[in-house]
Amino acid sequence: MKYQPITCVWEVTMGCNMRCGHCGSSCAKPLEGELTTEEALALCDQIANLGLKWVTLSGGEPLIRQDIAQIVKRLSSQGVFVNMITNGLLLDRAMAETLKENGIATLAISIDGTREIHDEIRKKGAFDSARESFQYMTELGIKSGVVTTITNKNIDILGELKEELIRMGVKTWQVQIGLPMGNLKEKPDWLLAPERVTDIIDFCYETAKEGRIKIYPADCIGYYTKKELEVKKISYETDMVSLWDGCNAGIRGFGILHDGRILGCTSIREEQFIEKKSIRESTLKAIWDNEGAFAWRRNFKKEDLDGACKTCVYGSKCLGGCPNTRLTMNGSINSENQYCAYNLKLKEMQKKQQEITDAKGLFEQAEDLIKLGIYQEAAIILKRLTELEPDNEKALVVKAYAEYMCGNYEICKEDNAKALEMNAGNADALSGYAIALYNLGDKQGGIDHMKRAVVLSGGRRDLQEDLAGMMAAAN
Amino acid sequence: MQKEYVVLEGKIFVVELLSYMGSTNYGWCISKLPQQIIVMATENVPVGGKYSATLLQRFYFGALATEEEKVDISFTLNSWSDLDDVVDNFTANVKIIKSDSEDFASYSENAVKIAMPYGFVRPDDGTQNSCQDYGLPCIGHQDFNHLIVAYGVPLGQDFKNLNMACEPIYMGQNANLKYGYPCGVQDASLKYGYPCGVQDASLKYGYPCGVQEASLKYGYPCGVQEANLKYGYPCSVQKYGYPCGVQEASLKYGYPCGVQEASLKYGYPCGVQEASLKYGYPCGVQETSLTYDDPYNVQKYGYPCGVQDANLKYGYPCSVQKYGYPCGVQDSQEARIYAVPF
Repeated sequence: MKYQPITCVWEVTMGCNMRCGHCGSSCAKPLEGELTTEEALALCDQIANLGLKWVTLSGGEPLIRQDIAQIVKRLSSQGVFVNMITNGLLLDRAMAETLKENGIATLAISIDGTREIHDEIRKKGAFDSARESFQYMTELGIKSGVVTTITNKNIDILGELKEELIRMGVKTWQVQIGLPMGNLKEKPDWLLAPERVTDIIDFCYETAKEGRIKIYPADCIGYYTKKELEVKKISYETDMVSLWDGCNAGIRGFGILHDGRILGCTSIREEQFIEKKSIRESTLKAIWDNEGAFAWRRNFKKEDLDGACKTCVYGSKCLGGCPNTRLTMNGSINSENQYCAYNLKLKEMQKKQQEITDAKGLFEQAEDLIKLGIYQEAAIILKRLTELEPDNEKALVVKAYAEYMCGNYEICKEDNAKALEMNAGNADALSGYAIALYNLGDKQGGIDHMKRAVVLSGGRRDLQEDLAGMMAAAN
Repeated sequence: MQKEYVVLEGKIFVVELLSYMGSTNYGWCISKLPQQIIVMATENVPVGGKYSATLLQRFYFGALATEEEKVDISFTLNSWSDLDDVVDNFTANVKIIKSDSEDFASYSENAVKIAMPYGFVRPDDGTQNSCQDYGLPCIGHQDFNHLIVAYGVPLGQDFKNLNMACEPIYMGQNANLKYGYPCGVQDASLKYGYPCGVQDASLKYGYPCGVQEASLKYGYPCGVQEANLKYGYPCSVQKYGYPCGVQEASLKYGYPCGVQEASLKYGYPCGVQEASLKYGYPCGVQETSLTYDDPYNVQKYGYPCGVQDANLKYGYPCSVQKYGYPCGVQDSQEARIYAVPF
């Protein structure tokens, strides 16, 4: 499969003039091996040639690179939109004018709280500096926004911060969750409890509805809540927002480290996730197009996930949400995503279901949900029902169907097998078993079982059509 | 006395209490009913045999949507001729399990490759009723005289019989009518949902394939659709025509929720829409005798008869375009299949 990148995040330096408490990269002094100006400019050309539409320059603090304006110009002059994330400390009026002259497209300033909290997290005077930077950019007509990393330090003052940003004239605001990496890993008391993600989504939703500032929840916040979709609709000013479709790392975007090494995402920076060759040893295009490149992401499938994500109805589309969340929280990108709002909701629902003993009501509720296309919850309810009534053949078959619709073919197969043990003449169970087999890769086995199901059913038309579809697809 | 009940939002539950009302005139009464609970019915069932006056009083309640998880229903056992004469109390501690599925977008990777054909369901008895079109059961669930009211299929005299596949056969018309389109005529680019003859599971109702989000359904979960679903939603639960995952709860297909005033019709502000726009019907033709899909002449394609403003139709200038038909094609009286008078 050919992938076309459209964006990248480039950590032009690891040096930083702040020592933020939540910094994921623990940035301090510039690290050895930074790309020289010549190397950086040559990389700009490669970025443009690869067809990227926009690049985000970050760090560290990108403005501490003396040649940052040259980099901006080299990119912008080739039609690449250049975005920069800065703490604003070095962004005085002269720097703002320089960036504008060199073609900066957008600029994001990190503001993590009202004055007191922001300065506590970052550095005394940082808030006023950031505010002034924003004013310069606004006066010069450069599109600017604010990025906020949410931790326990600031989650409860997001409302106040919003009002402050609106007063400052900020139009766009990205919020992201502070994850346990870098400096934040040493501050567990700053780390948000996963349950707070729903508070963040609610806050985004309420903010978006107000219409006073556009808010953009980052990729680590989600997934599949209607509120989150509504926020995107409002902020992107379109109804054509798509559902989360998996992390972009190595698919539509990538990261560049300060020394020219390439990786899918600058947040996922363990050695195993970094491409073998840097741009000092190869070209950007060759690295991107390499058959085995970004394998951890490009080859990632639902089956690779563990926990709740492994059986989630969204699993094959979502792939567990932000992999960095899973990596930093659990040490593995295969683990489940505790910050997922849907995961949280399902866990809450499972807990509630344990209190219900009304089998008939459970079945009716599951049927209603299936009719509405809400298969996961139906499967959970039916799981509870089959715990209450292990010999309920009908519940098993319907559960198998719900599991099938969730893409959980192994469970679908098991449930249908149990139903067939109770009643070998159950054509629905046999056809479900056949479809499960087929989807698990045993295509001939699936077809053979479906043929038997057709006969068993007396030639039911739907099963005949299923069989025809399976045979056509197998050929 | 008290007892805890765990009930599902939107579902009926029963509280049963024993009394000797028949002989003593003392019976159970509801003395306190929270807002979240409604009384659906009551029933008194003798349980003590022929010579006993023992009575089982059944109270059927419905649990409404609520933010509160726990509510109490109070009962008193009192004389029905002297209500102040209370001899016992009972409290039902009701825990309502909130139905919160609507918070998330519906999705299934198999919704686009579902095993069952679109519009068909497997009945409970395991037999396949293949005569089920777009949610309207043809046989077994309806009076035969009123059946075959499939979308795009003419009623009345044009109906002749069913073929072996339970598809309607028509006199004087092209039998290959699909959802309002004559098959051979329909431009492939015109999809009121389905390309003619293809109608596979990957197509969602009303959305061109390439455009529609997987989470957006014009109503139907593929293949699961049933007659009791109106455009995909149980009436009492959801409303007509919402993109599943996207729509804000307070917004309804063009209407502010619950507001839906006379000035707002199906997404068209009255003053804007031209009088010549009809909901798929030629202006001069549509009358109260026309029904779209309801054999009892109660509703028109989503409008209760009495409510629909005759001037407001689905948005087609009647001389220009018909509901789902290429203009130039469906003009003649005999070809009109969508709004034929009985």
